[in-house]
Amino acid sequence: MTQLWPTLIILGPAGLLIGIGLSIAARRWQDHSDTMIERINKLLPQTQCEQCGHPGCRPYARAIARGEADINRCPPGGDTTIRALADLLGKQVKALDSSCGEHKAPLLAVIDEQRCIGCTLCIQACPVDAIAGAAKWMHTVIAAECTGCELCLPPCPVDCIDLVSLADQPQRRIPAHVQIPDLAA
Amino acid sequence: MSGDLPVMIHPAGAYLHGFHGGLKLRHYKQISTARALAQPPLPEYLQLSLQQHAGSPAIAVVKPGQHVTKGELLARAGDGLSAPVHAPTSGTIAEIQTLPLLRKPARSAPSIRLHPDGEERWHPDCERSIGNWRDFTPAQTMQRIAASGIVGLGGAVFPTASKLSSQWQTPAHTLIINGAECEPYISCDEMLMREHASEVMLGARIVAHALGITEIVIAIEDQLGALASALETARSQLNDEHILVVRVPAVYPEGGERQLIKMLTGLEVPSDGYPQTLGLACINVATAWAVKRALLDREPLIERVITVTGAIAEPRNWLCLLGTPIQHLLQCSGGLTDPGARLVIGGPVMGEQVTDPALGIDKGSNCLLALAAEQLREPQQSMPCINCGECVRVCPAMLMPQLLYHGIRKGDHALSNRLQLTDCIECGCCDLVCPSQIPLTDYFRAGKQLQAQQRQQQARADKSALRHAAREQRLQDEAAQAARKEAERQARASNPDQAQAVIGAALQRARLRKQAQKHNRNDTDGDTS
Amino acid sequence: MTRMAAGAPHIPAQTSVQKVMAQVLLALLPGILAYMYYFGVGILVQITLALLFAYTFEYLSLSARQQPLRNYLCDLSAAVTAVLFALSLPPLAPWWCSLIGMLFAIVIAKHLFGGLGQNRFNPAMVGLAVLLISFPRIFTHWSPPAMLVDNPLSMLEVLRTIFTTQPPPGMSWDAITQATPLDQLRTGAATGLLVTEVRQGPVFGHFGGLGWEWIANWYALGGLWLLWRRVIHWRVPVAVLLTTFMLTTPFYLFDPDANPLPLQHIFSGATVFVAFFIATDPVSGSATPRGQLLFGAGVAIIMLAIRRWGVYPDGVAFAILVMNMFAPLLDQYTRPRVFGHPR
Repeated sequence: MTQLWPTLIILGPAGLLIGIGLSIAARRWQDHSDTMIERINKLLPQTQCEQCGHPGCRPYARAIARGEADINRCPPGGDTTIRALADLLGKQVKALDSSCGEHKAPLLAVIDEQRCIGCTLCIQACPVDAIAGAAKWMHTVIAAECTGCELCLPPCPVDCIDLVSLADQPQRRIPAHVQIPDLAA
Repeated sequence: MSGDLPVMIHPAGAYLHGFHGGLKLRHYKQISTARALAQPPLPEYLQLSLQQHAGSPAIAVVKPGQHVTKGELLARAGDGLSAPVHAPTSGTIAEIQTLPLLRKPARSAPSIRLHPDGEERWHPDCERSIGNWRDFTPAQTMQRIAASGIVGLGGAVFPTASKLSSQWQTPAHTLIINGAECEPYISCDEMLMREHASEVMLGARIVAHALGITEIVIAIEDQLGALASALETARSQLNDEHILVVRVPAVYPEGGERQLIKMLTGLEVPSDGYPQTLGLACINVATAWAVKRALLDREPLIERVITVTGAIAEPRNWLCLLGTPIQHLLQCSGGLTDPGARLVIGGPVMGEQVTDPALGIDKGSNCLLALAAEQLREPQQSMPCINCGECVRVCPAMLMPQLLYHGIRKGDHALSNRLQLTDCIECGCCDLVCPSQIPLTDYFRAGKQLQAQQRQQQARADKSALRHAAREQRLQDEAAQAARKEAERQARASNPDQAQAVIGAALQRARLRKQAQKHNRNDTDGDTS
Repeated sequence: MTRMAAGAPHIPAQTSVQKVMAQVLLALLPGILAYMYYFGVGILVQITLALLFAYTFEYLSLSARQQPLRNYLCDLSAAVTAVLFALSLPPLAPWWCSLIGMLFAIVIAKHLFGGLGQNRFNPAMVGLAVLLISFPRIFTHWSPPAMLVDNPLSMLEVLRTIFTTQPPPGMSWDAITQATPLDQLRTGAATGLLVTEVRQGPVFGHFGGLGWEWIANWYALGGLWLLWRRVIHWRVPVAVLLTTFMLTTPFYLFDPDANPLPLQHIFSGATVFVAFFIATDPVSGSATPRGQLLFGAGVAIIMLAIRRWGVYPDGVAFAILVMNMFAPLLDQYTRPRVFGHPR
C-alpha cells in the first residue's frame, strides 16, 4: 500500500494536467477555418430552405463549425446528412430535431399559371433564382433548378404555388428483406 | 483510361486463359433441347414495349386504329442511345398505354398493343432489294443494322450499331461471336446455332466486313460436342479459314462479355472501357443471326429464339414474335406442371421474376423459366456472415462481396465506393456459395441504386450551391450599386454650393455649344449664298 | 402472381453454416478416435462436458440477446467451439476447466462481440488462453500414451479424477500423468540437456512424440477431407506447416543438439490440429488469398517463437489470438485487384 501513494501522487495530477491541457488545446485550436466550413457545407443538401434557422446552408455550416449549432437541424438532409456530419466532426449521431421540420422526399415547386398574378414576390424569395418572370407577367419555376425549399410559398398572395414530389423512377425493385439505412427514406 | 493498354500476344482463342472465380453449375439444358425449334401459333395480341433496349425509349409513329404490315416501323429510335421497334406481323394497333417493363418491372414505358390480322403481309420495304452487302460501306451497314432495330440479344440489349461504331482505341482486329450461354436451363443460342449455323456465320462475316476485321472467333461451351461439329461443317461450307470455333469450359458466368474475352485472349477489358478498347468486337450469336436477316433478307428484328423450360409440360425453344404474351407462350408449351412455380424471364441466377404474364416478350428475353416451388430459395432464412471468403473466391469481378455487404448495410457508401461496388456484374455467384444464405446480390443492386441516387443528389446540391452563391453575389452587387448611388445623391444634397457650381458649369457648356453651332451655321450660310 | 419476394438468383445456395460446421465436426472424428486410442477415454468426458456447458451458455446468451433460438442453436458453431476447446485440454483436466473455458469462449468471446460471425477472436482459443494464463499447472498433467501405461485407468477412475479433481485413491498425479514431449524438451533445455539426450526418453516416438504423431496424422486426414470438400482451402494449412518447417530447418541444421527436428515441431503439440482446424476458422481469420497465407505464416512464426523463447511449451492459443488481431488489417491490405483495374 505504501508503494501506491507515490504512484497516485505523481500520476494523478499529471493525468489531470494533461487532461486540462488537452481540453484547452481542443478549444483553442478548434478548426473553424474556411476549409472546415467548406467541408461541412459540402455535406449539406444545398436546399437553402432556412429550416435550420440560418439564412442558407453555408451560414448553417459556419455555425456548426463554430460549435454554435447542432448537427441535427437539417430536415431535407435527414438521417443521411446527420450521419455524414457526425462522421466528419466525430460527434454522436442523433435524431433529426423535429422543431426544424420533418424529412420529406425531394420536392419541386410548380406555379399554377392560371392563378399567378405576376407579383414577383416569389422571385425575390427564391434562394437559387429558379423562378423566371416579370411584373404583371405570369411566372414559372425552372424545374431543373428548384430545390423544393418552400420559401416561395409564404410570400405568394394568391397561394398559386404547389409542391410536387420529385421521386425518381427507381431502376429496380428492392426486396423487403434488404435493409439499408438510407433506403427506407 | 491509362495510356498503356494490354496487348494481345496470341490470336484470340489460340489458348484458353481462364478467369477468376465463377461456378460450375448443373446445366439442365437437355430439358429444352429435346424438341426442335418451332414457331408458336399467332397469339391474340402482341404487346410491344417501346423500351426493349438500353437507352431512351422509342417514339411511336403509329396511332391506335391504324393498320400496319409486317416489318413496318411502329416506333422510331428516340434521342441519343435508342433503337426502333417494328411490327412483328400485320394487324391493327389497338392501343398505346404505359406498362411496366418485362425485365425491369420497377420502370415503365409506353407499350403498343397490336391485334394480328393473321395475313402476315410484309411491308413493301422488306421486299425491295437493297443490293449486295459486300458493296456496302461500313456506314451503310451500320445504318442498316440500326434501322432494323438490332440490339444485343444476349440480354444486355445495347443497340448493336452504337456498340460497333463507337470509339475504337485500338484498331479492330477480332470479332468474337458469343455462343457461350452459361446460365443453367437456357439453350436458345445452342438451338439457333444447331439450326442456323451458316446463317450465324454469314452475319458474323457481314459485321466483320463492315469493321474491316478478318479474324472471327465463335465461342461455344465445351460440352456441346455435336454443336461444334455442326459449326465445323458450316465453316467448311463457307470455306472461310478465318472463322475459328473455340470450345470454352462451361463455367458460369462465361457468357459475360468480359469473362469470355479474358478466357479467349487473356486480357481484361478495363473497368472504364469496352471491348473496343482492346480492338475486339463481341456480339451474341443471335445478334449475328439478326444482322444476317437484316442485311440479306431485309427483315428488321421482329422475332427471336426463346427457351421455355423448367416446370413446363412441353419445354422447348420457340422462334417467337416479339411481343408474344408470356401466357400465350406458356399455353403453347402445355402450361405449368407445378401451379406454385415462379415464372422467371431469363435464367435462374440472373433472371427477373415475371410480374404480369400478360406482358409480351422483348428483344432481351432469352428464356422463360418456370422454377418449381421446391427449387426456390427463401431469403428470409439468412444467417450472419461468417467471413468464410467463399464469395471472394468465386467473384468474377474479384471484389470482396462480404465487405461490400457490411458496408452497404451500415450505409457506408464511402466503403462501398472504395471496394468498387460499380464493378459488380450482379452474376449472383456469391449468393450461390454463401453458407449463411445472405441475398448478397440483392444488397448490391440496392447499394448501386443508392449510389446512383446519391450521385444525382450531389449533382443537384452542387448546382444549387453555385446558383445560391451567384444570387448572393448579385444581391451584393445590387446593394453595393444602390449604396453608391445613394451616397452620391447624399453628397449632392449636403453641398448645395458645389451642386450649383456643377449645374452652372453644365449650363455654361451648353450655352457655348449652342453659340458654336450658331456660328457654324452662319458660316455655311455665307458659303452657299 | 405473388409480389416479388426476392431478386435473382432464384435458386438457393447448396451450402449452409450448419453443413459447414457438421463437416468440420465429422473431419475431427478420426483425430478424436485416435486420441482416445492413445490417451484413454478422458477426452470423451472433456468433449461431453464442453458441449454441455457450451450449449448452456449458448442458450442463455441467445435468450438474453433475444435472438431466434432455433436457427442459432442448430448452426453447430457452438459444438465446433466446444470440441476444438476440449481437444486442447489435458484428458484428465478438472471438470470446471470446461465451465470456465466455455464461459469465456461462448459468452465473452462470441456473444459479447455480437454472436455468430462477429467474434474478433477464435472463441475456443480465448477459452484456452484464459485457462493457460490462470491455471498453467493443469497443462503439465497430460496422460501418457497408452503404450507406456501398464494398466490404464478405467472409465470410472477417469470420471472420478475429472470430477473430484484428485487422482484416484492410491495413485499420485505423477503416476497417472506426464509432461508432453514439448514440455520435456523445454525443461530439458532449461536444465542444460541436449535435445538428443531428451529425445532418448520413452515418450518420443519417431519424430513427434509417441501417440502424438499418430494423432497428428489422423487430424491431417480429416483436414485433407475438408480440403477435398472445399470446406477449408489450402492456403492457411500450407502456410502454417510450410512456415514451421522452413523456420525450424535452419536452426536444426545449425545446431541439431540444441534444436529439435523440424518434423518434431510439426508432429508434436498442436501444430497439425491448428493448421487444419484452428487457424482455418473463417470468422476470426482473413478472407483474402494473400491474407490467408500471411495469417498462416504469422501463426507459425508466433507459435515457434513461444516454443523457443516463451514460458509456455506450446503457444498456439496465443499465436492464434495475436493473428486474430491482425486479420482485419490483413484483409484491408491484401485486397485483391478488381477485374479490369490496373495493378
